[in-house]
Amino acid sequence: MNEYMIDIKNLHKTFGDVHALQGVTLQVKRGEIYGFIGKNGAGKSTTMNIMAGLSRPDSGSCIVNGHAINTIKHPGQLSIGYLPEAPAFFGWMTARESLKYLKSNGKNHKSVKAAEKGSGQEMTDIDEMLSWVGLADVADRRVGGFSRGMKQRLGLCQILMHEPELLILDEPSSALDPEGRSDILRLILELNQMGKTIIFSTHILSDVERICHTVGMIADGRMIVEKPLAEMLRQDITPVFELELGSAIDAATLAELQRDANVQKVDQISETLLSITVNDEYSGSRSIISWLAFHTIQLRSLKLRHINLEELFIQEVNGGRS
Amino acid sequence: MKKDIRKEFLFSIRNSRFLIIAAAFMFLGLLTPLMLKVILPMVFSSQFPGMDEEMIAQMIDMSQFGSLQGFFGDLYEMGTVIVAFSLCGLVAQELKDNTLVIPLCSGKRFSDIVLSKMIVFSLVMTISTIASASVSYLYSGLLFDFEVKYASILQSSLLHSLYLIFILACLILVGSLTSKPIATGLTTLIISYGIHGIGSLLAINKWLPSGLIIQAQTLGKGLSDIANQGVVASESTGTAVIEGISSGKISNSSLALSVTMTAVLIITFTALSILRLRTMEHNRR
Repeated sequence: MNEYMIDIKNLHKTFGDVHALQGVTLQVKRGEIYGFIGKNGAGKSTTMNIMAGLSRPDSGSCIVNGHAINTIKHPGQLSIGYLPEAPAFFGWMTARESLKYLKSNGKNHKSVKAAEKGSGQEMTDIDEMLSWVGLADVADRRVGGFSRGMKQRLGLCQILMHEPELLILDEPSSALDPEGRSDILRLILELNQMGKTIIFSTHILSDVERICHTVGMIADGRMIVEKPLAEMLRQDITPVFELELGSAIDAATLAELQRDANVQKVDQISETLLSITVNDEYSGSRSIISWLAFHTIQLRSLKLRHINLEELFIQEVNGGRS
Repeated sequence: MKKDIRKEFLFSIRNSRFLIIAAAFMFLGLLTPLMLKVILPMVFSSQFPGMDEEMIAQMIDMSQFGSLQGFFGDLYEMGTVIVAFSLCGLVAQELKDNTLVIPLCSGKRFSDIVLSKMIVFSLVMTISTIASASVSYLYSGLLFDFEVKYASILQSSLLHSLYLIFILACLILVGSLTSKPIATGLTTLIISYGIHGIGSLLAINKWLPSGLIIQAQTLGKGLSDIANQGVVASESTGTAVIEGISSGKISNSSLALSVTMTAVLIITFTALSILRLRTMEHNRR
């Protein structure tokens, strides 16, 4: 069995003059939740469309669930669940009719109870699926009148109809209210506990921090970082000391701190507030305390914090650090 | 495939496509005999006060045959417009709205999607054509006299239905190429009238689907019979028939050729639509 559910190498895609993907390489391990992050227009949806078999790359290799994208005749061959950014259903069908239409013949589905327990029990009842995503009360309402959040839930419901091992979710939590977002993230976590491999794109980085195992960042059609979240937090999330001083300091004194080898960057937020990025907590704190003592600067408060994923993303996109 | 057929059937009912096509065809079926019996003589009398009934009868074919010819003529001219614009979004709108994306990823096949549309709407148009022709047959029979055999009406209806199925195949192919419903409707109309125009101009209608329209308007009599009887086609009907007669190029023997050519075109257009859907980019914004 292949370790990777998705194995993409050097993917290129152009639309007219726009080079949307410029050598994207990405690997999603079996059983993990992969957060695919990037700004609007970075190439997330283009990559996901290719992964779902809805679009063909100009060059590069894309193997999804053991199938090379260029060799499939039909997206259904991939046996994956794909939820587009804006799931479009036939507005004249009810939620129940939509699921009946999309349900494959002879396929069984995980039960809600099974899903909650993470066991392998089978479910055949569409109503049970609808209640799992909180749409039981509107099962007989036409989808045309559904809100975006309800369509996302219905979309999530329909992709489970075929029991796919791999779920590709394009911005599943965007445009949802906080409660809706929280529900979607809960559902994703439950699905992962059922053994599903999930890749989802988003620009809401706190969502990634909450549920992902691996993070891939894309900017201008290129992957800039791809690492396990824990490793990224350990290696790349830089410590920052925030200092409140008793009095204002001059530029020459500040410049002396900036020249310290343990200090990466000093930002003077106000006359008495400093934000100091250091290489590591231990040597950085020593350098700061020595500098304060040497110049007899009065310290009101000192607080250590880490750059979060959002700041790291901005740093990576703007700074191009790899 | 069964689910796709059921879905298309539901679509035709819920979005009133069946109702629109059937009602419009029925309206034409009732209007044509009424126009011929009541409205046209009134118009002539008001415009030309000196004209008596005998003179009017010499100008227009006031019979069930003339009425049914008029009906099939209207069905070609107006029915094609109705079909083109009520079904122009069959594939184009689905591509435009990306509603095919989820079914495709759920394992639906392009061939099933296209064939189910062909099956359901072919039935819708065949039923609507036969029903409206039957209504027109009964009504014109009551107003004039039952002089045409019902079997001829059935044959003409089936020929016209085959032509409309060709229009349906056009709509699906053009829709898959443009993804724009209105452009699809207009392009299909241009194709439909263009084929007829070129066919008449070059006297090659028997090689084209437009040959079916001409054959349908003969009501099983055969063009030579009509010519021998000196029947003058009424109103809009008759351009095609008269062209056929005068050119002498179209005969009853060309029926099989027109049917075969149309069937080949329908199959080709359907296959091209499936191929196009298979190779195109989906889920584009």
